[in-house]
Amino acid sequence: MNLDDLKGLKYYIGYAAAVMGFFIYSHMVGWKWFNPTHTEKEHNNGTHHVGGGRSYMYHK
Amino acid sequence: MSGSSYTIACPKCQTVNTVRGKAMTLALTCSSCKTYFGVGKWSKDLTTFGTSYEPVLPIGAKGKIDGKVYEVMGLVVKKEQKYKYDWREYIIFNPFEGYAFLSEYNGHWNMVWPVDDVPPLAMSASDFVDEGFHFRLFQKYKAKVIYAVGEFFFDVVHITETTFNREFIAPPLLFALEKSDDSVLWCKGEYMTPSEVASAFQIPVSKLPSKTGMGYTQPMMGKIKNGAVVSFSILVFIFLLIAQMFFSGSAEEKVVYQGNFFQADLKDQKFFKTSSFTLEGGSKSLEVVVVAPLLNDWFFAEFSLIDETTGTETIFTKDVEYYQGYEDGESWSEGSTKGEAFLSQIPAGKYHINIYPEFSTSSHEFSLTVKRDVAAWSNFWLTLLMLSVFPIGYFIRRNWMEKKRWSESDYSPYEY
Repeated sequence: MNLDDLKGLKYYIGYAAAVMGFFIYSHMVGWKWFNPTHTEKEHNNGTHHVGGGRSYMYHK
Repeated sequence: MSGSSYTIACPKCQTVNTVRGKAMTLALTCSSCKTYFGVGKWSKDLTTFGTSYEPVLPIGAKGKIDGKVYEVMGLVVKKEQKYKYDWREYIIFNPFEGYAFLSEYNGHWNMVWPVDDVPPLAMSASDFVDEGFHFRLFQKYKAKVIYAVGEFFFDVVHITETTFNREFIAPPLLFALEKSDDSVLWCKGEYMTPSEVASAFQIPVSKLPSKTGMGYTQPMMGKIKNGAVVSFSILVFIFLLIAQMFFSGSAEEKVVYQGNFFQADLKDQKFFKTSSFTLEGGSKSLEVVVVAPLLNDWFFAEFSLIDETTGTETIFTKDVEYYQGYEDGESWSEGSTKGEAFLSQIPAGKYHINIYPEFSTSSHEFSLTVKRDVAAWSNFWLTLLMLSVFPIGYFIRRNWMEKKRWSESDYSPYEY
């Protein structure tokens, strides 16, 4: 491969760099793209539930 | 061509024509009556054409191609004798490089120039290799000039009618052979985009004929080469594999919590609460592994991972089922006594988990293991898939375009 070949591949190189960058970033922050574990966040302003009364259930 | 004027009188209407090519010009068309005639005594034939064509590159226009200035000397419109399509050839001239042609068909352009050295196989074979390019026979044809204007360094009308032509292509390159009983002319050519032609002659590209279909030497997807696509793809795949091995190898998979839970301990409560555990570092993954000693039974629980600092809850569920039996002489099993839940991007902090279990009639206990920083191989496979899209798409499109290109040839290697 010479410089002209690389110029011809500029879009592929850009695309591959973006995909690889996304892959590396995801690993660094522990992000699994397609995660079969469905999660939901709930914010409780510094306090949290200690009992039942959950209004939803999640099933895999 | 500059210098003192050089004139020739038209043998038909006697109009005096200024000849830019001077003594090199051997045939020309009269600027007044448009009659084509030879210069000197080698031909007394006069040819008139029943059609006319306005050159998009004006006679006398100058253009810079590969750093060399060429002047448009003449234009011929040729018609293929079997399939009756026509194309245009502009004869261009540079005092140091000699003459060359700019041919145009359906808005696709080729710069074509005479060459002395041709691969020996080119004379007889239907394909050959030259400088690493594999040339294949694309067409054989006889042609006729249906229109000419300007000046020519040979009797273009007579030569065109008496030669048999063969063209070999290795896009964006071509070899063209014009062969008659007493002459052989080899030319080499290369595809030019309309933008390159317009830029060379400093005319708007909109003045040039619009492109239709695919040019027979039109390169695939710009300047992309097959070998470069393959080589770069292999490099990227190797880099991806190394990166995945690095991340997998460096993943801590640190057990931050492990505990066993029994239904009997639940008493009046509806849930278990783990002890607090600390997650270190930045945002990382968390894997929660549930193991229940089951046999033909199930276990289900809802989990709430609670950040003790912010109160944020991450809620998820996990069910574990395991069945086995013996049927028709064969034993079978289904499911597992172990299940994993993967949590993405869990920030550092102090956490505990509330577990809301649902025990069946025979399952009464389970264990829980929480691991920090677990590598996900699924990202690797998805990335591999995404990176494969370009080369796979390229070769599918390339094959489709090649078939389309060769559909206009009598010598196509493809079946339709």
